[in-house]
Amino acid sequence: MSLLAKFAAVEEARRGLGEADPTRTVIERLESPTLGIINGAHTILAGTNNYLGMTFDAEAVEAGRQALAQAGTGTTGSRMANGTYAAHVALEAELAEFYGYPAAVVFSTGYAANLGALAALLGSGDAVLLDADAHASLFDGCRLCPADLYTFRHNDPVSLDKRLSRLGARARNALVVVEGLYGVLGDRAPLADIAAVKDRHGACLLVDEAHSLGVVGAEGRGMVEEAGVMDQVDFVVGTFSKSLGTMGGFCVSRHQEVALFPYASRPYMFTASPSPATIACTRAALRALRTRPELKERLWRNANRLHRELSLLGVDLGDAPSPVMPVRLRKREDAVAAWNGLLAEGVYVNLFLPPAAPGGGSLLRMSVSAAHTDDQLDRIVAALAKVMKALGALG
Amino acid sequence: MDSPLELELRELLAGITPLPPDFSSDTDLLDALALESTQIMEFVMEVEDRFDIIIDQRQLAEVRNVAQMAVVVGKAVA
Repeated sequence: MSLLAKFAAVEEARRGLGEADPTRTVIERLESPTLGIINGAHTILAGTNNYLGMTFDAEAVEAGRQALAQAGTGTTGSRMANGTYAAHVALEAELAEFYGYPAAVVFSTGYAANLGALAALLGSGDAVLLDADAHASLFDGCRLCPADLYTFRHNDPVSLDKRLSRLGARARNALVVVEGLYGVLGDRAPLADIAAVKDRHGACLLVDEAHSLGVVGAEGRGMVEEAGVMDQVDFVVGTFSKSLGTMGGFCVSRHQEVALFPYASRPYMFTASPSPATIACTRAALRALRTRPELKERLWRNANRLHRELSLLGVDLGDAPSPVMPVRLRKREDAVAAWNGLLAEGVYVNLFLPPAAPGGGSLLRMSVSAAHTDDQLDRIVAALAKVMKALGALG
Repeated sequence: MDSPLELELRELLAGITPLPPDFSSDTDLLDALALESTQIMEFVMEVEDRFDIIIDQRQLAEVRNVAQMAVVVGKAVA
């Protein structure tokens, strides 16, 4: 058995996906936040995380262009060394002010933010309780740490309560980790109940708002704002790569100690900092998120419309409208066929096969954008109607 | 001969995935039963709730079958 032999199984699994391998989709050219060229054809992008449609925002693009000219293409180093520019510090101050918390830390990616925050927080003898449907980066971050790792049932405060009770006095050294809005099924964490449980046991709570920053909450501060737990949640992590349309991540907290995370976080230390252009685009996008509520309003108008029209067709969607919209299919083969069928109709979505989708099922994930036009939404509905009807997958 | 604890664990496992007729407490859950990581997590949470215990995932690194799981559970309930 050679070191490389294991890749034979990988290749076999990849071949099983057929000629149009969803994991190898190449977007040959972008026409707009919601339109690209795939396989030479104009394709509506309904499987991105471009919730507010910010990737082509004129102010963000111009801010990036200026930063590129003024500060160069990259920092070439870690935040702890030569990689902290005034703009990185300014973005941290703006994030802290946005949340009304004393401090924030900017990381190079959302993945690094999750790893970095968890690595800083969790030491030997601590415990971490993770929602079973949490994102892989949260599992990876927990596994990076010497703390004891436990899982509780998805979105189930009772399951969490039982486990914290079983920890006894150790619960006071426990961190509960959840997402605000889950990125595969688009369901929301019952944060008020989860926060009440963690408070009762004296534990801390970290919420990943990767899919909810700018998407929910009166000011766009995510599920912690919508659930009214901003004074209870201990740490919020998030990404710039979805609603803000750039790259990078952050951790912000009501605890001043978050400012010391860089000294205890290898994922912060041992990677290059975000480029000046990335930071400039992010700051511009954050300003837009705060000053242009019409972006979020348009996103929800589009999400509600798509959910209503697809539900009427009999497409098996999530229960409540959400910008993250799963389309459930009975069989793996149906999901692969539907993905290929939609692409042939000029609509790109994401494919989730077991074990990637919660519950072991297969699904297509659509992501709605504020930038989707009415015509694009019409075409998405028409394509789904045609493809799902051909598969006999309409209820 | 399966212990009562192993039989109880098998019953919980059967609620998550069908067990083949030749299944034993030594059957490898990953190679022979091809359990997905999410199914293993579900199994662990079922076990925790049945026995009112909590199991650190690091303790499961070497667990490959029901017999080894029974050792972990036995220590936790002791």
